[in-house]
Amino acid sequence: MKRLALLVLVFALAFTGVVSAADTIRIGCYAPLSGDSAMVGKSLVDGVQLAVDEFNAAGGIDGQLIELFIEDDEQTPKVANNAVNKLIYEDNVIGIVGTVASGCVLSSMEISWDAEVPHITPIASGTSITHMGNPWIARTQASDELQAGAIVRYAVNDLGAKRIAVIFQDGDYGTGGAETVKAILKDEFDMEPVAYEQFESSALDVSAQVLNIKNADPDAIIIYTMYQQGALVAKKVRELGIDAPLMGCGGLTNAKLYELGGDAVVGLANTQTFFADASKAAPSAAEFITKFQEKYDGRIPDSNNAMSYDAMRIMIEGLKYSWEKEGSFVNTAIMEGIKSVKELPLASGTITMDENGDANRDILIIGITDGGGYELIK
Amino acid sequence: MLLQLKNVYVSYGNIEVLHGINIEVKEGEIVTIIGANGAGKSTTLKAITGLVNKRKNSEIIFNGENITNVAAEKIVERGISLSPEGRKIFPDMTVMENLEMGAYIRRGDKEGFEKTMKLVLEMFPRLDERRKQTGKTLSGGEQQMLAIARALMSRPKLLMLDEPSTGLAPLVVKDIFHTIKKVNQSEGTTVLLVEQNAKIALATADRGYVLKNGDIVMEDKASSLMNNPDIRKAYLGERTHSDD
Amino acid sequence: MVNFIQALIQGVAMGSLYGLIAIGYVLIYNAWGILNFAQGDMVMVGAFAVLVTHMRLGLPMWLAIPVALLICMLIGFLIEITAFRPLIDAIQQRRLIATIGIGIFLRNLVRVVFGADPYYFPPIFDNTPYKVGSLTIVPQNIWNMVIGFLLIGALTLFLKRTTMGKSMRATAQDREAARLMGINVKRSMSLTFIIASALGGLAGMLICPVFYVVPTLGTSMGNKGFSSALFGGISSDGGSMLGGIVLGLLEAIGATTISSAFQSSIAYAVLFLVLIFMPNGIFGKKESRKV
Repeated sequence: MKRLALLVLVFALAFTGVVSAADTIRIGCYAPLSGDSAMVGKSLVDGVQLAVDEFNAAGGIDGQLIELFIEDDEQTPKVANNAVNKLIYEDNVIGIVGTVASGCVLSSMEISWDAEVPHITPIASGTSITHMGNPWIARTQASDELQAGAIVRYAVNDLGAKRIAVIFQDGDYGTGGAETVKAILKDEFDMEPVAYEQFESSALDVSAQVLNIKNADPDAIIIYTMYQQGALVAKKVRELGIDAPLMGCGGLTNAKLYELGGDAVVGLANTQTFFADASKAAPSAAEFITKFQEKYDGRIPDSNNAMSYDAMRIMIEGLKYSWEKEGSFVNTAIMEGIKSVKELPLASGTITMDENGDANRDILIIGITDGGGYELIK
Repeated sequence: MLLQLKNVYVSYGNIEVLHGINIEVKEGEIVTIIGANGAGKSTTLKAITGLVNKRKNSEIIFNGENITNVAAEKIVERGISLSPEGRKIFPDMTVMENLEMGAYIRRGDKEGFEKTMKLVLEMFPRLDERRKQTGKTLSGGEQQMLAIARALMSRPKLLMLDEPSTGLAPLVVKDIFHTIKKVNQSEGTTVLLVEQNAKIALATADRGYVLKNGDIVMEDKASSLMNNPDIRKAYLGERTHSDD
Repeated sequence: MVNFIQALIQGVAMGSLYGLIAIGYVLIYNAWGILNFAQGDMVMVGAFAVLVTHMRLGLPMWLAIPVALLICMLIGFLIEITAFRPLIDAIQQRRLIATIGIGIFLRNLVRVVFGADPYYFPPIFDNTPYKVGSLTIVPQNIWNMVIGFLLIGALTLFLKRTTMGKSMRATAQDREAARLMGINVKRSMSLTFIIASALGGLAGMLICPVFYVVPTLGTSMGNKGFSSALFGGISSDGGSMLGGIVLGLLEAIGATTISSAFQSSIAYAVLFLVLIFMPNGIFGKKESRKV
């Protein structure tokens, strides 16, 4: 990783030529770069890197450029802790962007919290991250609360559903999400789910749960699972002859969902923060798509790229705020700047940060089309 | 000479249980090894069948060939068959299947198998009645008969029997030893018999060895051993006044 | 009522898959006197083997499955000579830990090579559900059940009628006595292991079109297969299929009538009771330990 950081530095120097290393703004970035989630980790780093390059190319803040330090967390809390420790105490960074898994963020943010270093997580969605009283954390991902609210409102307001069934996998993601769905149904619409079915994350057979749903005769089914389990649920739902529309949240967004679920997932709707269609996207998103494709050989960005790019952009907002207010980079001022971001048009939508550090924004609803493509529903 | 044990040593870990024993069995004989529990009798038979390792310099000659280091599963092909201690019949296989396993090395020879089977079942009519029963459902005596019958199915030159009387009623024991004698006389099968029941063993055998703490302490004609006062005292349960 | 019957159908469908996996546990337990905790992972290996032969190498299904079976047999043999044979005289705990270790090794090896994401596998048989009244029946499930029973039948014939099969049973029942009969015990035990590996692999191949192929396939399905073996009686070859169906039914009925959150708990609670009151399983024979 040191070599990579060095390369980034050399790259930055080569382009600017005039700035000495002493004038750089040291920012840390960590993500799973090896192991099962390496692909997502790469998405994160690519998005962050794009924002840094853009910032440096534009001359930085009064000629001060960002120097990015990158660490691998192997999607393991312990390694994530080591990564944040190294970034703060060896690389002396003044801001951190990372990482993917909520568990890793929850564990490693204790270190940035303790060191009082502003920390933005781009991808982790666990509601508790921003609800633990940590004043140094912020995120760009839509929290589970935001996503669950969006999908419930879509079901009730847009589809007119009156009998909603919820099926979810056990564990933080599924159980937490399903409970949020249940609470929003109750608070906003005074409704109870007609079926509320749980299964083990490792289970392959969900027929008993889906049979219970069939029994309840729902007019919409909210699936709060990751994409693998989502495919199993969708297949079983259609196999048992249930016609109700299927929907869920960000965990379902993955090309594997269609590969595994086939025709059963066509029409499935889920929440998303970013939709890579420059013709339909907001101007800020369209601009991001163009820039991303220029830098990465025409590759189409995904939502993780977009949210990571946005995380770095919001970090930069914090830096600018501090420079203007204090004439230097002060942790309290940077954090204040991050939280005072208001209606900033970015890649994954127009973002307003709240006092907890959560990004409030409109959530998109996208649907799977025949052949596994996505269309923007709203 | 059919079988010769020369200077056979066996150790289990650090404990030597046979201290260089010498035993000879001539063709057509019934030879018995008697001795107390733990004297090394079963180990001797296991040493011959290759189930335990011998220390080097130990030598076992069978039918003119050195079989000291032949693996256990190859011994039966040489013509030695063991009816092991504790019978070790296959409990979930039928009587017929047990016998079939006894003839495993002759599995190509269907005709020979049928012939031997007939002969063996004639010798053990009780087993004939129980053909389809599994081994574990047989009585102790029947299981012992099955173990011997199974050993005979390979048509061995040397039949070795390890404690065939254990746990059986006296009448059953008598029956079994009668059959052993019959096998020896009508088939000419040489028998090496290990027994704790010295009385019936010596009554059946031609010659005997006395094994004590891993050493052969005496060897003689069975009838002579039977009349030896030391043997009578130590192994035939005869008491003298001083014992009271 | 219709839903209850549908639950029964699902239960039997899952149960026959469990039963298929259980056979391998039973075979190895009887031959080696040990529960092979890596048997579940052989199911996963089978699924990945057919994924490679059919999806990656593009072999047609009729060729992909036999080639995948050969791969399973080879891997089974390698496991046997590396983790089972050297420990044959070791204490039971050590042998058990070795089987657990092999399972972990296989899972991680496959994960490193193929990643943790699941893979799609096309149906071997027709997968389109068809309706009988308001009931749904999936042909692949029926085939799985038929193949399960056919395999048990073939295996029983092999073990009961052929000399090779009988020598394997003899080895399982008394290794030392088998050696005295002139049976090559090592070879016989290898053969048992290879057959069990192939059966586990085949179960995996039949399972992957129903769900998907994933490195953790063996963990979830392996536990169910192992429990089915206990239900059916670990010493009974024929009981495993029935044990699997009992487990499948318990899960389906428990989840639909009590609570789906306790699906596995209900089934395992019943398993506990069975083990307490019928230690030899529902269809198991009385344990016969030689004196």
